[in-house]
Amino acid sequence: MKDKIEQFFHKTKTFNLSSKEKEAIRARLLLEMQSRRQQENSKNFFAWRIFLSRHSVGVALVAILFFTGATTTFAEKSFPDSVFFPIKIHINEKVLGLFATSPQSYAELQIKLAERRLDEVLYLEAESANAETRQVARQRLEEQTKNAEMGVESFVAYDVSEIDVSLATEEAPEETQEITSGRALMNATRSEVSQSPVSRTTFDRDELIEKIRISRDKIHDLRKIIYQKNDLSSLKKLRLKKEIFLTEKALFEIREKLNSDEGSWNGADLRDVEERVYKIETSANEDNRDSLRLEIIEGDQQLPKADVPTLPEVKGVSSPLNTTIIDTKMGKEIDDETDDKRGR
Amino acid sequence: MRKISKNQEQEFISHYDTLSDTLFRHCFFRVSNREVALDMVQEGFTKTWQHIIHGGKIDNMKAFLYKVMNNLVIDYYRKRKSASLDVLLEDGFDPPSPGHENIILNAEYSEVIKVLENIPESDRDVIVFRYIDGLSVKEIAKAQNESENAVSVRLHRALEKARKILNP
Repeated sequence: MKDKIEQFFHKTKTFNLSSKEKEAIRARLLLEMQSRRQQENSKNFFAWRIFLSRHSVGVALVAILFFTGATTTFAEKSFPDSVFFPIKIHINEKVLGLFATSPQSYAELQIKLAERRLDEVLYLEAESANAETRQVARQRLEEQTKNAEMGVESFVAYDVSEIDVSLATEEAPEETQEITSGRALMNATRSEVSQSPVSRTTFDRDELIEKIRISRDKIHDLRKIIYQKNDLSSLKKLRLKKEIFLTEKALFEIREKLNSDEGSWNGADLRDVEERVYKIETSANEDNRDSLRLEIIEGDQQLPKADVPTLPEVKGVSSPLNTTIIDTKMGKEIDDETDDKRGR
Repeated sequence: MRKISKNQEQEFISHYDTLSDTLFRHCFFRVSNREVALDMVQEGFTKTWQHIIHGGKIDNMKAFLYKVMNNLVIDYYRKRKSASLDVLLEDGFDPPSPGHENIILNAEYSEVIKVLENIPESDRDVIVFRYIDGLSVKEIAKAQNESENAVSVRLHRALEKARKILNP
């Protein structure tokens, strides 16, 4: 019986979709797949365009920065025969100049630029560039070397925080000697530099090589001057600090002594003295040459005496400086008799 | 939506080519309406594709498709039950005469439809699954989320009714 039922229903096996119907459903499925693919592609396509339109300013800035950065990087390593060379000398080096705000940094920059001009001359000679280009490069080297010399001279002349060497020689003879010898070395180097100018006339290859060697030595010496000057300044600043410390120590001892004699000291006013010491200290820390009113020793010139504070002398307390006994309130000198009245 | 490769699309189309006739047959002999059966096949495959592109995983494509078709048929039954004939007539519905579909069909098929239309839906489904689709009792039980025992009992009952109609 089961077989009969099975046979009965078996005939339905041939009941299928017509080819048209099958093809129609298939086509609709393929269309759906295709439209979905197109949707995805357009989403990806438009995604970056939407991003660009929303962030156009930012994207433009990034593009400009990238382009500028790339151009300046290429220009930095370029030589006179390169397209980027004008950018190097008219833009890159000008920008570097903006950051050279102190005399020292300006001098160092000029030395660095002189070295660059020297490298360019050497490069052009090695590449056997045309005569005109080489001539222009040599002229630039001469000009830049002169600028470097002037920069160093300005730096040497700028710093006026030197102390009169003649002061307190008993206290620190070694330091004084160091300062003297440092100054002498610097002056010697300056003298060497000034005696080796680069000629402006044309010359043959051997002469050129010699000139280049001289220029290189000159640039090296200019840099040496800056180092020597800095060493000298450091020594002098150290010296000044030591002076201030000793003065303050004396002041402290004076104050202690006065405080221990309460009621017996009549009217000494140390405020003026304290103010003056404070001013010296502040000026030294800020490197303010005007308040100190000092001048550099040049060759055989003598320094005018520095403006140092005078302290009242108190018995039993030694002062590092020559002092006169004063009563700042009374405005007159204090003598021994007065001291006796105070019970000292 | 996950990215679908061309291989996956081709695989799905090949499943369609293999299973479309079987599923159409299944839907037709359950709902006794060619147009509805065509729509169900179209909708069933579309839903399955949507499931795939939304990240759904399908281990057995045949079983999954049968489940989808089964759900569509059940929805169709529910809609048909809720819309009474009187309401439809008032709305201007012109129901086809009984056997309208059969006119365009081969005589063999119309006999089968006649038998199937005269047995309850639940019994009809199980006969279609067993003797038209050729599924085993186990497979039917899985497709309908029922126990094998329940399916066997229903199948036996359905066959009795079918025999009575065939041999009155």
